[in-house]
Amino acid sequence: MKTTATDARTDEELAGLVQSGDSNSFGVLVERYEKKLLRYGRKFLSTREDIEDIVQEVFMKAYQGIKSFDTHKRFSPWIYRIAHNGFVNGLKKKSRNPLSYIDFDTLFPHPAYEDPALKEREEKEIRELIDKGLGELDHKYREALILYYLEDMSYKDIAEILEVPTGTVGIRIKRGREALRKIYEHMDHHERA
Amino acid sequence: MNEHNQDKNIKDEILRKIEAHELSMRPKVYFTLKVVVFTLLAFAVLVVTVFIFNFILFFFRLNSLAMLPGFGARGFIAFIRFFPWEFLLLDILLIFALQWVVRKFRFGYKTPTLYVLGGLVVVTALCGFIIDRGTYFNDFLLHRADEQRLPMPFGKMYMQARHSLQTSGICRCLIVAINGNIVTVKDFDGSLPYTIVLPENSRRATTTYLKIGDRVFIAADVKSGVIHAFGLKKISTETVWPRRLLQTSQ
Repeated sequence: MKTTATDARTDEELAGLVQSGDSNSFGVLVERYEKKLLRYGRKFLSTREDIEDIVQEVFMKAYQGIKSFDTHKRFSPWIYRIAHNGFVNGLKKKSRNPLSYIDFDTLFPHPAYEDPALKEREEKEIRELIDKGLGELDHKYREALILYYLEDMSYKDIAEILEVPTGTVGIRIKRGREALRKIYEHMDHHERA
Repeated sequence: MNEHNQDKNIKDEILRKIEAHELSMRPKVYFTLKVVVFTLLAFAVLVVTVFIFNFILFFFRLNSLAMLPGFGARGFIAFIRFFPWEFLLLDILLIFALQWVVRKFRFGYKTPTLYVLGGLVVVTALCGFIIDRGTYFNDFLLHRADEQRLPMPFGKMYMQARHSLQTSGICRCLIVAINGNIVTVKDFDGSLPYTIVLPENSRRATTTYLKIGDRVFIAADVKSGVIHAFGLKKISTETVWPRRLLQTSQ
Protein backbone atom coordinates (compact mmCIF):
# COMPACT_ATOMS: atom_id res chain seq x y z
CA MET A 1 0.00 0.00 0.00
CA LYS A 2 1.38 3.33 -1.00
CA THR A 3 1.78 5.88 1.70
CA THR A 4 3.64 9.10 1.89
CA ALA A 5 7.34 8.50 2.27
CA THR A 6 8.00 7.46 5.84
CA ASP A 7 7.63 10.67 7.73
CA ALA A 8 9.91 10.80 10.74
CA ARG A 9 8.08 13.74 12.24
CA THR A 10 6.06 13.04 15.36
CA ASP A 11 2.30 13.45 15.45
CA GLU A 12 2.76 16.48 17.69
CA GLU A 13 5.18 18.13 15.24
CA LEU A 14 2.76 17.50 12.39
CA ALA A 15 -0.10 18.97 14.40
CA GLY A 16 2.01 22.03 15.06
CA LEU A 17 2.60 22.40 11.31
CA VAL A 18 -1.13 22.05 10.63
CA GLN A 19 -1.77 24.82 13.15
CA SER A 20 0.62 27.00 11.15
CA GLY A 21 -1.41 26.36 7.99
CA ASP A 22 0.24 23.28 6.46
CA SER A 23 -2.76 21.18 5.44
CA ASN A 24 -0.56 18.48 3.85
CA SER A 25 0.72 17.61 7.30
CA PHE A 26 -2.88 16.95 8.25
CA GLY A 27 -3.04 14.48 5.37
CA VAL A 28 -0.15 12.59 6.97
CA LEU A 29 -2.00 12.50 10.28
CA VAL A 30 -5.11 11.19 8.55
CA GLU A 31 -3.06 8.41 6.96
CA ARG A 32 -1.53 7.47 10.30
CA TYR A 33 -4.81 7.33 12.21
CA GLU A 34 -7.39 6.32 9.65
CA LYS A 35 -6.93 2.56 9.98
CA LYS A 36 -6.65 2.76 13.76
CA LEU A 37 -9.88 4.72 14.05
CA LEU A 38 -11.70 2.44 11.60
CA ARG A 39 -10.58 -0.54 13.68
CA TYR A 40 -11.66 1.26 16.85
CA GLY A 41 -15.02 2.09 15.29
CA ARG A 42 -15.65 -1.56 14.35
CA LYS A 43 -15.90 -2.32 18.07
CA PHE A 44 -18.76 0.14 18.44
CA LEU A 45 -20.77 -0.10 15.27
CA SER A 46 -21.29 -2.88 12.80
CA THR A 47 -22.02 -1.08 9.53
CA ARG A 48 -18.91 -0.14 7.55
CA GLU A 49 -20.62 2.91 6.09
CA ASP A 50 -21.55 4.25 9.52
CA ILE A 51 -18.00 3.71 10.74
CA GLU A 52 -16.45 5.46 7.76
CA ASP A 53 -18.87 8.37 8.02
CA ILE A 54 -17.99 8.85 11.65
CA VAL A 55 -14.25 8.52 11.05
CA GLN A 56 -14.48 11.17 8.36
CA GLU A 57 -16.39 13.40 10.75
CA VAL A 58 -13.78 12.79 13.41
CA PHE A 59 -11.03 14.03 11.13
CA MET A 60 -13.11 17.02 10.14
CA LYS A 61 -13.67 17.92 13.78
CA ALA A 62 -10.01 17.33 14.51
CA TYR A 63 -9.03 19.77 11.76
CA GLN A 64 -11.56 22.36 12.92
CA GLY A 65 -10.33 22.05 16.49
CA ILE A 66 -6.62 21.61 15.78
CA LYS A 67 -5.77 25.01 17.26
CA SER A 68 -7.08 23.83 20.63
CA PHE A 69 -4.52 21.01 20.67
CA ASP A 70 -1.55 21.62 22.95
CA THR A 71 1.51 20.39 21.03
CA HIS A 72 3.28 19.71 24.32
CA LYS A 73 0.80 16.93 24.98
CA ARG A 74 0.33 13.69 23.05
CA PHE A 75 -1.78 13.78 19.91
CA SER A 76 -3.06 10.21 20.12
CA PRO A 77 -5.33 10.61 23.19
CA TRP A 78 -6.59 13.89 21.77
CA ILE A 79 -7.82 12.43 18.50
CA TYR A 80 -9.07 9.27 20.18
CA ARG A 81 -11.19 11.47 22.45
CA ILE A 82 -12.82 13.06 19.44
CA ALA A 83 -13.30 9.60 17.94
CA HIS A 84 -14.69 8.22 21.20
CA ASN A 85 -17.29 10.99 21.40
CA GLY A 86 -18.20 10.44 17.76
CA PHE A 87 -18.67 6.69 18.14
CA VAL A 88 -20.56 6.97 21.41
CA ASN A 89 -22.94 9.45 19.78
CA GLY A 90 -23.27 7.05 16.86
CA LEU A 91 -23.99 4.23 19.27
CA LYS A 92 -26.62 6.31 21.07
CA LYS A 93 -28.40 6.92 17.80
CA LYS A 94 -28.33 3.26 16.85
CA SER A 95 -28.98 1.72 20.19
CA ARG A 96 -32.50 0.67 21.10
CA ASN A 97 -31.68 0.94 24.76
CA PRO A 98 -30.80 4.38 26.09
CA LEU A 99 -27.26 4.60 27.35
CA SER A 100 -26.97 5.35 31.01
CA TYR A 101 -26.49 9.02 31.79
CA ILE A 102 -25.52 8.42 35.38
CA ASP A 103 -21.96 7.14 35.56
CA PHE A 104 -21.52 5.48 38.92
CA ASP A 105 -17.91 4.51 38.15
CA THR A 106 -16.87 8.17 38.28
CA LEU A 107 -18.80 8.85 41.49
CA PHE A 108 -16.30 7.33 43.88
CA PRO A 109 -12.53 7.36 43.87
CA HIS A 110 -10.84 4.08 42.90
CA PRO A 111 -7.19 3.19 43.27
CA ALA A 112 -5.44 3.08 39.91
CA TYR A 113 -2.78 0.44 39.56
CA GLU A 114 -1.65 -0.53 36.11
CA ASP A 115 0.17 -3.85 35.99
CA PRO A 116 2.05 -4.32 32.67
CA ALA A 117 3.04 -7.87 33.57
CA LEU A 118 -0.57 -8.85 34.19
CA LYS A 119 -1.60 -7.19 30.96
CA GLU A 120 0.95 -9.22 29.04
CA ARG A 121 -0.24 -12.46 30.59
CA GLU A 122 -3.90 -11.77 30.00
CA GLU A 123 -3.67 -10.00 26.69
CA LYS A 124 -4.04 -13.02 24.43
CA GLU A 125 -6.95 -14.41 26.39
CA ILE A 126 -8.72 -11.08 26.58
CA ARG A 127 -8.28 -10.41 22.85
CA GLU A 128 -9.99 -13.72 22.10
CA LEU A 129 -12.78 -12.96 24.52
CA ILE A 130 -13.19 -9.48 23.08
CA ASP A 131 -13.66 -10.90 19.59
CA LYS A 132 -16.29 -13.30 20.82
CA GLY A 133 -18.24 -11.38 23.41
CA LEU A 134 -17.81 -7.65 22.85
CA GLY A 135 -21.28 -7.01 21.47
CA GLU A 136 -22.84 -8.18 24.72
CA LEU A 137 -20.74 -5.94 26.88
CA ASP A 138 -21.81 -2.59 28.32
CA HIS A 139 -20.27 0.14 26.12
CA LYS A 140 -18.33 1.80 28.95
CA TYR A 141 -16.47 -1.46 29.70
CA ARG A 142 -16.13 -2.20 26.02
CA GLU A 143 -14.35 1.02 25.22
CA ALA A 144 -11.97 0.69 28.19
CA LEU A 145 -11.01 -2.87 27.16
CA ILE A 146 -10.58 -1.91 23.50
CA LEU A 147 -8.35 1.03 24.29
CA TYR A 148 -6.26 -0.96 26.77
CA TYR A 149 -5.87 -4.31 25.05
CA LEU A 150 -6.37 -3.56 21.38
CA GLU A 151 -5.15 0.01 21.05
CA ASP A 152 -2.47 -0.54 23.69
CA MET A 153 -3.11 2.69 25.55
CA SER A 154 -2.06 3.41 29.12
CA TYR A 155 -4.52 4.10 31.94
CA LYS A 156 -3.52 7.75 31.82
CA ASP A 157 -4.20 8.03 28.08
CA ILE A 158 -7.50 6.22 28.42
CA ALA A 159 -8.51 8.58 31.24
CA GLU A 160 -7.82 11.53 28.92
CA ILE A 161 -9.82 9.98 26.10
CA LEU A 162 -12.82 9.04 28.20
CA GLU A 163 -12.55 12.15 30.41
CA VAL A 164 -12.75 10.15 33.62
CA PRO A 165 -10.45 9.76 36.62
CA THR A 166 -7.58 7.29 36.16
CA GLY A 167 -8.98 5.10 38.93
CA THR A 168 -12.22 4.74 37.00
CA VAL A 169 -10.28 3.36 34.03
CA GLY A 170 -8.80 0.64 36.22
CA ILE A 171 -12.15 -0.33 37.67
CA ARG A 172 -13.80 -0.45 34.25
CA ILE A 173 -11.08 -2.67 32.84
CA LYS A 174 -11.35 -4.98 35.83
CA ARG A 175 -15.13 -5.17 35.65
CA GLY A 176 -15.05 -5.43 31.87
CA ARG A 177 -12.72 -8.41 32.08
CA GLU A 178 -14.96 -10.13 34.59
CA ALA A 179 -18.10 -9.40 32.59
CA LEU A 180 -16.45 -10.64 29.41
CA ARG A 181 -15.44 -13.89 31.06
CA LYS A 182 -18.99 -14.41 32.30
CA ILE A 183 -20.40 -13.73 28.83
CA TYR A 184 -17.96 -16.17 27.31
CA GLU A 185 -18.77 -18.87 29.90
CA HIS A 186 -22.45 -18.34 29.22
CA MET A 187 -21.93 -18.56 25.44
CA ASP A 188 -19.72 -21.60 25.81
CA HIS A 189 -22.30 -23.32 27.98
CA HIS A 190 -24.98 -22.70 25.37
CA GLU A 191 -22.80 -23.97 22.55
CA ARG A 192 -22.11 -27.18 24.44
CA ALA A 193 -25.80 -27.59 25.19
CA MET B 1 -7.01 -2.79 -3.10
CA ASN B 2 -10.59 -1.91 -2.37
CA GLU B 3 -9.60 -1.04 1.18
CA HIS B 4 -6.73 1.10 -0.14
CA ASN B 5 -9.15 3.00 -2.39
CA GLN B 6 -11.52 3.53 0.50
CA ASP B 7 -8.64 4.68 2.71
CA LYS B 8 -7.60 7.10 0.03
CA ASN B 9 -11.16 8.41 -0.25
CA ILE B 10 -11.36 9.61 3.34
CA LYS B 11 -8.00 11.37 3.22
CA ASP B 12 -8.62 12.85 -0.22
CA GLU B 13 -12.10 13.97 0.77
CA ILE B 14 -10.75 15.77 3.83
CA LEU B 15 -7.94 17.46 1.85
CA ARG B 16 -10.38 18.40 -0.89
CA LYS B 17 -12.69 20.08 1.63
CA ILE B 18 -9.72 21.96 3.10
CA GLU B 19 -8.61 23.11 -0.37
CA ALA B 20 -12.14 24.19 -1.25
CA HIS B 21 -12.41 26.09 2.04
CA GLU B 22 -15.36 23.91 3.01
CA LEU B 23 -13.42 22.92 6.08
CA SER B 24 -11.39 25.39 8.08
CA MET B 25 -9.63 25.61 11.40
CA ARG B 26 -11.36 27.46 14.16
CA PRO B 27 -9.23 30.35 15.37
CA LYS B 28 -7.46 29.97 18.73
CA VAL B 29 -9.50 32.86 20.13
CA TYR B 30 -12.62 30.68 19.75
CA PHE B 31 -11.25 28.14 22.21
CA THR B 32 -9.98 30.84 24.55
CA LEU B 33 -13.44 32.40 24.53
CA LYS B 34 -15.01 29.01 25.19
CA VAL B 35 -12.87 28.62 28.30
CA VAL B 36 -13.72 32.15 29.39
CA VAL B 37 -17.45 31.57 28.86
CA PHE B 38 -17.45 28.33 30.85
CA THR B 39 -15.40 29.95 33.59
CA LEU B 40 -17.83 32.85 33.81
CA LEU B 41 -20.77 30.45 33.73
CA ALA B 42 -19.27 28.42 36.56
CA PHE B 43 -18.64 31.58 38.56
CA ALA B 44 -22.18 32.87 37.94
CA VAL B 45 -23.75 29.60 39.01
CA LEU B 46 -21.49 29.50 42.07
CA VAL B 47 -22.50 33.04 43.05
CA VAL B 48 -26.20 32.19 42.76
CA THR B 49 -25.70 28.95 44.70
CA VAL B 50 -23.82 30.72 47.48
CA PHE B 51 -26.42 33.51 47.61
CA ILE B 52 -29.28 31.06 47.96
CA PHE B 53 -27.52 29.06 50.67
CA ASN B 54 -26.70 32.30 52.45
CA PHE B 55 -30.39 33.24 52.23
CA ILE B 56 -31.42 29.90 53.74
CA LEU B 57 -29.10 30.56 56.68
CA PHE B 58 -30.46 34.09 56.99
CA PHE B 59 -34.01 32.73 56.95
CA PHE B 60 -33.08 30.38 59.77
CA ARG B 61 -31.51 33.16 61.78
CA LEU B 62 -34.27 35.68 61.17
CA ASN B 63 -36.98 33.32 62.34
CA SER B 64 -34.96 31.28 64.86
CA LEU B 65 -36.13 28.14 63.11
CA ALA B 66 -33.43 26.06 64.80
CA MET B 67 -35.37 26.37 68.06
CA LEU B 68 -38.52 24.72 66.74
CA PRO B 69 -37.41 21.07 66.99
CA GLY B 70 -36.83 21.70 70.70
CA PHE B 71 -40.58 22.14 71.17
CA GLY B 72 -41.42 18.48 70.65
CA ALA B 73 -43.45 16.92 67.87
CA ARG B 74 -45.47 20.06 67.16
CA GLY B 75 -42.30 22.08 66.97
CA PHE B 76 -40.76 19.54 64.61
CA ILE B 77 -43.81 19.63 62.35
CA ALA B 78 -43.65 23.43 62.36
CA PHE B 79 -39.95 23.19 61.46
CA ILE B 80 -40.77 20.98 58.47
CA ARG B 81 -43.53 23.39 57.48
CA PHE B 82 -41.43 26.54 57.63
CA PHE B 83 -38.20 25.14 56.25
CA PRO B 84 -37.43 26.84 52.91
CA TRP B 85 -37.54 23.60 50.94
CA GLU B 86 -37.90 25.31 47.56
CA PHE B 87 -34.66 27.20 48.09
CA LEU B 88 -32.86 24.08 49.25
CA LEU B 89 -34.08 22.14 46.21
CA LEU B 90 -33.01 24.97 43.92
CA ASP B 91 -29.60 25.04 45.54
CA ILE B 92 -29.18 21.28 45.13
CA LEU B 93 -30.07 21.54 41.44
CA LEU B 94 -27.63 24.42 41.03
CA ILE B 95 -24.86 22.41 42.66
CA PHE B 96 -25.46 19.59 40.18
CA ALA B 97 -25.45 22.14 37.34
CA LEU B 98 -22.22 23.59 38.69
CA GLN B 99 -20.74 20.11 38.89
CA TRP B 100 -21.62 19.61 35.18
CA VAL B 101 -19.85 22.87 34.27
CA VAL B 102 -16.80 22.06 36.40
CA ARG B 103 -16.48 18.70 34.61
CA LYS B 104 -15.88 20.59 31.37
CA PHE B 105 -12.46 21.41 32.77
CA ARG B 106 -9.65 18.90 33.08
CA PHE B 107 -9.39 19.18 36.87
CA GLY B 108 -13.13 18.51 37.01
CA TYR B 109 -13.32 15.29 35.04
CA LYS B 110 -10.13 13.91 36.56
CA THR B 111 -11.68 14.11 40.02
CA PRO B 112 -14.28 11.60 41.23
CA THR B 113 -17.76 13.09 41.10
CA LEU B 114 -18.30 12.67 44.82
CA TYR B 115 -15.25 14.79 45.59
CA VAL B 116 -16.39 17.49 43.16
CA LEU B 117 -19.90 17.54 44.66
CA GLY B 118 -18.54 17.44 48.19
CA GLY B 119 -16.11 20.25 47.46
CA LEU B 120 -18.84 22.40 45.94
CA VAL B 121 -21.14 21.79 48.92
CA VAL B 122 -18.36 22.75 51.35
CA VAL B 123 -17.42 25.88 49.40
CA THR B 124 -21.07 26.93 49.06
CA ALA B 125 -21.84 26.32 52.73
CA LEU B 126 -18.69 28.07 53.93
CA CYS B 127 -19.15 31.12 51.74
CA GLY B 128 -22.86 31.31 52.57
CA PHE B 129 -22.08 31.09 56.28
CA ILE B 130 -19.42 33.78 56.11
CA ILE B 131 -21.73 36.12 54.21
CA ASP B 132 -24.67 35.69 56.58
CA ARG B 133 -22.86 35.47 59.89
CA GLY B 134 -19.84 37.57 59.10
CA THR B 135 -21.32 40.54 57.26
CA TYR B 136 -24.37 42.79 57.33
CA PHE B 137 -25.27 41.83 53.77
CA ASN B 138 -28.67 40.25 54.50
CA ASP B 139 -29.61 42.79 57.16
CA PHE B 140 -28.86 45.54 54.66
CA LEU B 141 -30.98 43.90 51.97
CA LEU B 142 -33.82 43.30 54.44
CA HIS B 143 -33.72 46.96 55.43
CA ARG B 144 -33.88 47.99 51.78
CA ALA B 145 -36.75 45.56 51.19
CA ASP B 146 -38.67 47.09 54.11
CA GLU B 147 -38.21 50.48 52.45
CA GLN B 148 -39.39 49.03 49.10
CA ARG B 149 -36.02 49.85 47.61
CA LEU B 150 -34.97 46.34 46.69
CA PRO B 151 -35.77 45.24 43.12
CA MET B 152 -37.87 42.15 42.51
CA PRO B 153 -37.60 39.25 42.99
CA PHE B 154 -35.17 39.97 45.82
CA GLY B 155 -37.52 42.48 47.42
CA LYS B 156 -40.29 39.92 47.66
CA MET B 157 -37.84 37.24 48.84
CA TYR B 158 -36.65 39.34 51.76
CA MET B 159 -40.04 40.79 52.67
CA GLN B 160 -41.57 37.33 52.83
CA ALA B 161 -38.65 35.94 54.82
CA ARG B 162 -39.83 37.36 58.09
CA HIS B 163 -42.60 35.37 59.74
CA SER B 164 -45.02 36.90 62.19
CA LEU B 165 -47.08 35.50 65.01
CA GLN B 166 -50.41 36.24 63.43
CA THR B 167 -49.63 34.85 59.98
CA SER B 168 -47.32 31.97 60.83
CA GLY B 169 -47.52 31.41 64.53
CA ILE B 170 -43.84 32.05 65.16
CA CYS B 171 -42.13 35.18 66.32
CA ARG B 172 -39.08 36.64 67.95
CA CYS B 173 -40.58 39.02 70.45
CA LEU B 174 -39.98 41.23 73.42
CA ILE B 175 -41.92 40.54 76.64
CA VAL B 176 -43.84 43.62 77.74
CA ALA B 177 -46.05 42.05 80.44
CA ILE B 178 -46.48 38.77 82.30
CA ASN B 179 -49.72 37.90 84.05
CA GLY B 180 -49.85 34.31 85.20
CA ASN B 181 -49.96 32.20 82.05
CA ILE B 182 -50.80 35.20 79.86
CA VAL B 183 -47.85 36.96 78.27
CA THR B 184 -47.95 40.18 76.29
CA VAL B 185 -45.24 40.53 73.65
CA LYS B 186 -44.19 42.81 70.83
CA ASP B 187 -42.29 42.04 67.64
CA PHE B 188 -38.76 43.42 67.57
CA ASP B 189 -39.87 46.03 65.07
CA GLY B 190 -42.25 47.43 67.66
CA SER B 191 -45.56 46.38 66.16
CA LEU B 192 -48.78 46.26 68.17
CA PRO B 193 -48.61 43.91 71.15
CA TYR B 194 -49.88 40.34 71.07
CA THR B 195 -51.46 38.52 73.93
CA ILE B 196 -50.30 34.93 74.22
CA VAL B 197 -51.80 32.17 76.29
CA LEU B 198 -49.35 29.65 77.62
CA PRO B 199 -50.45 26.11 78.45
CA GLU B 200 -50.45 25.19 82.06
CA ASN B 201 -47.71 22.88 83.29
CA SER B 202 -45.76 22.82 80.06
CA ARG B 203 -41.99 22.79 80.38
CA ARG B 204 -41.71 23.95 76.77
CA ALA B 205 -43.87 27.08 77.22
CA THR B 206 -43.40 28.55 80.66
CA THR B 207 -42.71 31.98 82.11
CA THR B 208 -40.40 30.56 84.74
CA TYR B 209 -37.08 32.44 84.67
CA LEU B 210 -38.58 35.12 82.37
CA LYS B 211 -39.03 38.80 83.08
CA ILE B 212 -40.28 41.89 81.28
CA GLY B 213 -37.78 43.00 78.66
CA ASP B 214 -36.60 39.51 77.82
CA ARG B 215 -36.31 38.57 74.18
CA VAL B 216 -38.06 35.29 73.42
CA PHE B 217 -38.87 32.97 70.58
CA ILE B 218 -42.47 31.80 70.51
CA ALA B 219 -44.18 29.08 68.51
CA ALA B 220 -47.94 29.13 68.69
CA ASP B 221 -51.21 28.08 67.16
CA VAL B 222 -53.76 30.76 66.41
CA LYS B 223 -57.29 29.54 67.13
CA SER B 224 -60.30 31.84 66.85
CA GLY B 225 -58.07 34.88 67.19
CA VAL B 226 -56.43 33.55 70.37
CA ILE B 227 -52.71 32.80 70.27
CA HIS B 228 -51.86 29.60 72.14
CA ALA B 229 -48.13 29.04 72.52
CA PHE B 230 -46.77 25.50 72.47
CA GLY B 231 -43.18 26.60 72.75
CA LEU B 232 -41.41 29.56 74.28
CA LYS B 233 -37.70 30.04 74.76
CA LYS B 234 -35.56 32.90 75.83
CA ILE B 235 -33.16 34.23 73.18
CA SER B 236 -29.78 35.22 74.48
CA THR B 237 -28.68 38.73 73.48
CA GLU B 238 -25.74 37.54 71.43
CA THR B 239 -27.98 35.46 69.17
CA VAL B 240 -30.37 38.34 68.47
CA TRP B 241 -27.88 39.95 66.19
CA PRO B 242 -25.55 37.80 64.17
CA ARG B 243 -22.03 37.48 65.43
CA ARG B 244 -19.81 39.47 63.20
CA LEU B 245 -16.82 37.27 62.57
CA LEU B 246 -14.63 40.14 61.61
CA GLN B 247 -15.94 42.62 64.15
CA THR B 248 -13.40 43.92 66.57
CA SER B 249 -14.45 43.89 70.20
CA GLN B 250 -15.36 47.28 71.62
